Amino acid sequence: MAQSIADEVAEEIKKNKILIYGKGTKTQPQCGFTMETIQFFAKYGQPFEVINVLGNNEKREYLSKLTNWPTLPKVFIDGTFYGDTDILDEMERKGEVKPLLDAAFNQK
Amino acid sequence: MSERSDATRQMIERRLKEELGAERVEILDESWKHAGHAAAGGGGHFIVRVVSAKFEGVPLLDRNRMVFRLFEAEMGRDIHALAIKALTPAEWALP
Repeated sequence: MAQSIADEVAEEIKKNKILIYGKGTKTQPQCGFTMETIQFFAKYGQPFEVINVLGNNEKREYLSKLTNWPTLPKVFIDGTFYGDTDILDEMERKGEVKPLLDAAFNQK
Repeated sequence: MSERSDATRQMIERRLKEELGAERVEILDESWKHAGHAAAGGGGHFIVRVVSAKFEGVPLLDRNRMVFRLFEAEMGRDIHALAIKALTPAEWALP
């Protein structure tokens, strides 16, 4: 039986400490907001994954329902949904991002 | 700026004021940056800064969800992308 989208997403979220569902790939983002998000995480120097969901409407719809968030990109850190750079920029301003990433990568 | 995206801008502002009691709304229309961007489907890219007392005590994620909800019907049509900065009046007053 083919893997369900729910299982696929659950596995992706589990496997990647920093995960961006976006438009395009890390080397070829196809949307300014996805690019901004990639740049946001690149400066922290921790590994992150970008999963392109452009052209996969079923997965996009599933992700929007899962997060109750209609737009891409969608960012997960250590299994928790953090929205997009509108949220992350604000967290960064308060100094909350680095401790969050440190905690995510220090545990096994 | 097209007439269409101008109309969308006015709609966004009006709805934020009516539905969220926003005391301040700033909308930046960045649609021009994405002219010809096929995936945009002709919809606009907007950056919205909205100040409302209704955001008090509400986590950031939920504030943005409150705003997205107002434009559910337009997302993916007249609005292709919406960046949101949702502030309380007290946060707005911060330096």
